[in-house]
Amino acid sequence: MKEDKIKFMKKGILLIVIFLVIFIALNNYYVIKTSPKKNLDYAFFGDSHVRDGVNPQFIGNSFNFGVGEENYVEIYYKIKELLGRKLLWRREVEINNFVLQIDIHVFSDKFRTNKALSIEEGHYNKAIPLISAKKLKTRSISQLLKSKFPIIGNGRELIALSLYLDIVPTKLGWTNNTEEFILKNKEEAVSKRYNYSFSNPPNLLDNITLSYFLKILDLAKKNHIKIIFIKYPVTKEYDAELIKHNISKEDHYDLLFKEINKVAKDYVLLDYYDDFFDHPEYFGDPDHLNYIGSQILSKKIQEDLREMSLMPFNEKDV
Amino acid sequence: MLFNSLHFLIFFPIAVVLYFIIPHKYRWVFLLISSYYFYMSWKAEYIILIIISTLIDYIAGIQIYNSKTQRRKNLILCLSLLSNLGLLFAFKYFNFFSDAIREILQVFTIQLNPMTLKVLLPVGISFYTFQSLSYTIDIYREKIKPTRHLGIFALYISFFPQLVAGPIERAENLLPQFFKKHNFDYKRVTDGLKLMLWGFFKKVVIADRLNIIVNTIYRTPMDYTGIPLILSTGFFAFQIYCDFSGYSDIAIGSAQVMGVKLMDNFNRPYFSRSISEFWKRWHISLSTWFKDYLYISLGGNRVSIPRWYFNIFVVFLLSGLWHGANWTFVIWGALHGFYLIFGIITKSLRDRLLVFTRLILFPRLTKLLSIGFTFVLVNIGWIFFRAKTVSDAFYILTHLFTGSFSFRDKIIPGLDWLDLSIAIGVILFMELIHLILEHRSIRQFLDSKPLILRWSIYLAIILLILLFGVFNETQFIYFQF
Repeated sequence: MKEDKIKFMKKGILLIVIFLVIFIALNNYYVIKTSPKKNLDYAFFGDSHVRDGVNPQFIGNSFNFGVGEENYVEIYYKIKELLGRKLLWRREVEINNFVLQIDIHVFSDKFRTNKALSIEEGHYNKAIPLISAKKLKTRSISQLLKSKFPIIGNGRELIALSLYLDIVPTKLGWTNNTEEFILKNKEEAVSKRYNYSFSNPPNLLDNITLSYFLKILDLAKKNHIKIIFIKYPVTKEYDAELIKHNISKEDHYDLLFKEINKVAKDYVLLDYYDDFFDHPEYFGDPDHLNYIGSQILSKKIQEDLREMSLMPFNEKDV
Repeated sequence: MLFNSLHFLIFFPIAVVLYFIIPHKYRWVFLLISSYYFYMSWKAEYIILIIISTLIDYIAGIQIYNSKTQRRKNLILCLSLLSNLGLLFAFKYFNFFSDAIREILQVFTIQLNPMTLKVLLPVGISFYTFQSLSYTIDIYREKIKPTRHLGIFALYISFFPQLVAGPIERAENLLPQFFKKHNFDYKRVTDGLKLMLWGFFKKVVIADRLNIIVNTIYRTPMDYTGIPLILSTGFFAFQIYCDFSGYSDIAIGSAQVMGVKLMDNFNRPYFSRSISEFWKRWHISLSTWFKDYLYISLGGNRVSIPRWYFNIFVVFLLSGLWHGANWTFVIWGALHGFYLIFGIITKSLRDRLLVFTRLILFPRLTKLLSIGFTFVLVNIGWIFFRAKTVSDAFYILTHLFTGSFSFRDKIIPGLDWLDLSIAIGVILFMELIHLILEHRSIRQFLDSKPLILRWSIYLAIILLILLFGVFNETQFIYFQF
């Protein structure tokens, strides 16, 4: 019996070692394949609206750093780490433009205090390890494992990336939202989304979020990075819910831009908020674009950037 | 606790190491505590139901055995049956029958709102209730003697590998194993681990991957016609097989690591040539339970032909109801009962047809056709099993061959050909293994191969699980039963 135990332990340890060598090699290969390029023209930051809505394949030399439920406190640490990472004396990733989400809900106090992390935790790795941000939210062991080893559950992406197939749902950080708002109970979905993001009564400009947001603008200024703000599209049902709760978009943005103007002068604003009011089929739920909507929005963003001469015309024709 | 959770992956190795460290005479205590902990990690207060069932049947077993008269024996058995089935009825079927009564009364324009219970269905209640019942019935039939050891009997009811979804064991097989000392045996332990690995592969790589596709369609079936309905129904057949047989493999494997041998629950069911053969290969522990404790009690086939058909139909109807308190399950059970009776009635006609068409000269072709035909019949049943409502099921049935059959459109929204290829690929991989292993178990097959090949296969399966598994801790389908 003792011999059996020793034999089992010896063989078991050997098998685990071989497995770990192969697994870590595959994981590193996946991380390299899904990491952003060293020089990026456009880095999109924000929550799931960004993650689902911006497909960088259609927008010049860009990468989508959007992660579900990510607030500006976490984004600040993410950007700080991103800018701080150096390979020898050179910065590992050079960014020309920060594209920041300024949707109403991202500044709400409830959004910042949401503790839950969605199952796409593994995608944190697309933004390079986030030691500081990790301290901000409680995580389970399985979430930590997924963030350390993003290859877990992503064999499909590994195949597609290795074979250069054009059907990777998480290519360049974008996630393929396959849901259909038109198939859902709209009233229920809208109320669920509203309650998820706003407290009662809503505090639209959370001080902590705002201070970190302004810190990002400051970081951009110091690093000579241009700023582009985006208001992402929502459905008209979602807009109606905001109106129902007496949320004034105009007042909110007046206040927000008053603060922004104190630290930043040169910025571009792209407003797509009501562009898709007549196209519920572009949405996965009241405020998230699906795979159809994201393609249309991404092309729109590219056209707008070109019109504003922020992107050369011959750079990437789609 | 789910088998496909990190919680279990931490719990199991610790439990096994401690099990082999603890002296034999205390192992039952450790296993009982582990089993209760395993169950209580889901909903702690429902452990009380298991304890009630345990106490009732422990006392009933001894009382039946000690009874001097048949009348007293009958009375105690009836009390045991009533209390066990009463609990099952209250937690699982009360609302279903309450709704049914309300609907019947509505037909007669009588408005009545019978009471409904707002309780959560205790996980595994149908499984441990049936296991517990088999114990008292076996004592009543003088097949076994009751155990005087309450702790070991409690372990028989709650042994964690098979507590929540079977296999539904018999006291004759399981109880004596808890009294035996099980040493650490390299071959037995590694065989158990291999079986668990195969079970995990079936669950997280195949079943949970197919679940995404099946859910998309079956959530709103009326948005689809033709190919998506056929595809998702076919996928569900493999999803439920991999989900449940995967669970059974993990259960049997983990018990085996600790030296306990559980009965087999599946034997390549989709290779069955008839519905009666299907039921000898699918959920074997439940079908043998129904055969031993209900079908035979009703007289089996040693009765008049109409009564025999009645017996078959009743058994399948109740088997359907066992699966869930919903008309879809009742129809599913009734459909299988009908298949079997129809099969018996038409047996001689079908034999003559084989001779007439000369198909009898091509046994392999006949076998293939029979397997295909049986698979189609089983799939029709699965439509009722999976659909949310009876009207959904009838919609699917009547729209399988309507609408566009063009593959140019997206077959299922949001899913591309790579998703479908992976789904079909893993099913083919599993069925290929089944085909290779027609007369051998996967463990026997692996043992005959050189070490390098064996280890490559183990590593490949572990990597496939990690890379292609769906890790959102999807519950096992049979937990709801």
